[in-house]
Amino acid sequence: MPKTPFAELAAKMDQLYEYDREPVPETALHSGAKFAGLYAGEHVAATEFVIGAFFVLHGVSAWDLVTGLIVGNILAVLSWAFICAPIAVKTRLTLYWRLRAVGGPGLMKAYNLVYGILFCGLAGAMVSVAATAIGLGFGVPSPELDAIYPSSIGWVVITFLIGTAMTLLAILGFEKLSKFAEVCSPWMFLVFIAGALSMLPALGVKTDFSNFWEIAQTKIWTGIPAEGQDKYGFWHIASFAWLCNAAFHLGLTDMATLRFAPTWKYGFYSALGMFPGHFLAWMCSGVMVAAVAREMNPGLMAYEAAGIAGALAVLIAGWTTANPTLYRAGLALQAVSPNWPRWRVTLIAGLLTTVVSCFPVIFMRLLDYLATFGLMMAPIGAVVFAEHMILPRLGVEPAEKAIAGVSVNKAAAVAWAVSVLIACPWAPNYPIHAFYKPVPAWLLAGVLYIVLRRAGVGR
Amino acid sequence: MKKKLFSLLAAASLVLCMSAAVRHFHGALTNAQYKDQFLIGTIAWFIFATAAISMGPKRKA
Repeated sequence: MPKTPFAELAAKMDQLYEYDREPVPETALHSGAKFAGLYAGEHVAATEFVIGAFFVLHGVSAWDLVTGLIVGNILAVLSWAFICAPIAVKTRLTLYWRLRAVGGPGLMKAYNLVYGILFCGLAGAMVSVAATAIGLGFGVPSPELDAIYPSSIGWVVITFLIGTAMTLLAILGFEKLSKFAEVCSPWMFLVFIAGALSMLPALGVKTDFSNFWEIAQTKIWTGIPAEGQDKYGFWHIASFAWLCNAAFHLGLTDMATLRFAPTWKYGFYSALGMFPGHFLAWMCSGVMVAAVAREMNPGLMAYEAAGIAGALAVLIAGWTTANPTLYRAGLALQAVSPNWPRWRVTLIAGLLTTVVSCFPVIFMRLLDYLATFGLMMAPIGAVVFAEHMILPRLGVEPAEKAIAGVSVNKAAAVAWAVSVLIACPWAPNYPIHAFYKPVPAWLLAGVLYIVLRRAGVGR
Repeated sequence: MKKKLFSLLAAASLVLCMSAAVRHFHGALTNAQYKDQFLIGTIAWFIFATAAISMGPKRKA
């Protein structure tokens, strides 16, 4: 029977996830340069336009920002290097495949469903960010900071059109778009640097930079939050910088990338993503939002900073970030419906993304959303970490043997559910701030899993 | 050879973008001139970088 274009495309997309069900062989390992490029490109994205700007609106002081970002980013790099990379290199498998063995196929399905839905939300936020750039051209205002529902018909139409276009392109041209994203990376980083630099004279910075720190403290990171926004300090920034990618390092989803590393030390390459992206780019977007009178409108910020090229950068950043995000969401959701072709799953993920993008609440509460994302995903990483690094030393039988033939490893399911429920994801700032939750949840899940497995719970 | 040339031109495009921002910061370019120059550099970057990447070594099937 001849293959349909969609079937051919799905087969091509499957090839992108090489060795997804088997260990990566020694001959397929990647060079350091490849990891450097990968991390550098992945962490200068559309989210950076929003995150750095929100720090300004949350009244972070300049000193708290700089020190918090240094500490948080170092902790993130250490998490990649000492938690995610060693397991990735030891098993050379993806988390999904490892989780199937450790947690059972039932738990893997539940995990993938949650992961896929959360990724749709994130892709939806990227569509919203891109919509602020298109909205500029049509006079559609960006939603208010506290907006939950669509702010206007124009906003709905723009997000719907962008979401639909991105979904179709993710189905039809995923591979080409991935290549296009590679082309965009260096330029995108330059838009942040050049855009911020060009805005500095308007803020009063002298050409010799002699008053930069004074302007930074009095006009950019003033320590005074915008109306209705919580005040953030050092610990908020350090925690967020560490844990905004908790799903990737503590949650181990970056095993997918690091299993191609020759040694665990390649986890340190994540510093090339953290410091340009989660330090410089965040600071640059802070400068940009300060220069547009603290209006949370990435499209406007970038347009004022770099003209048409800036607005284009926001649109492209949203697009190139949403593309792999949609693909990952599709992959995760496909685990729940394995008989569906990849294009159909991506289409459904895209529809969900498009609907989410009409509601600006995730875009306007992106920081809380990313923290919640980490909170939901990190505990599963603790389970796999405990299974590999701690239980063998305690002489506990490996999960593969202990739960052989069982759909759900009850110890893993209880550890995940209890740690997440205690952390209260539906109330982001209760009992502690959302940014602080992933670490105690990760530790709790790990301890619970060890105790339960030692007690013989599993089957 | 062509790949090298396109890579060099792509890098030069980024230098053009960045130099426009630096010159604007120093007051040597007006806001409009800076944005025009940045846009030209951007277009040039996408043309040359795409050309350079498309000439990369093909993966074995």
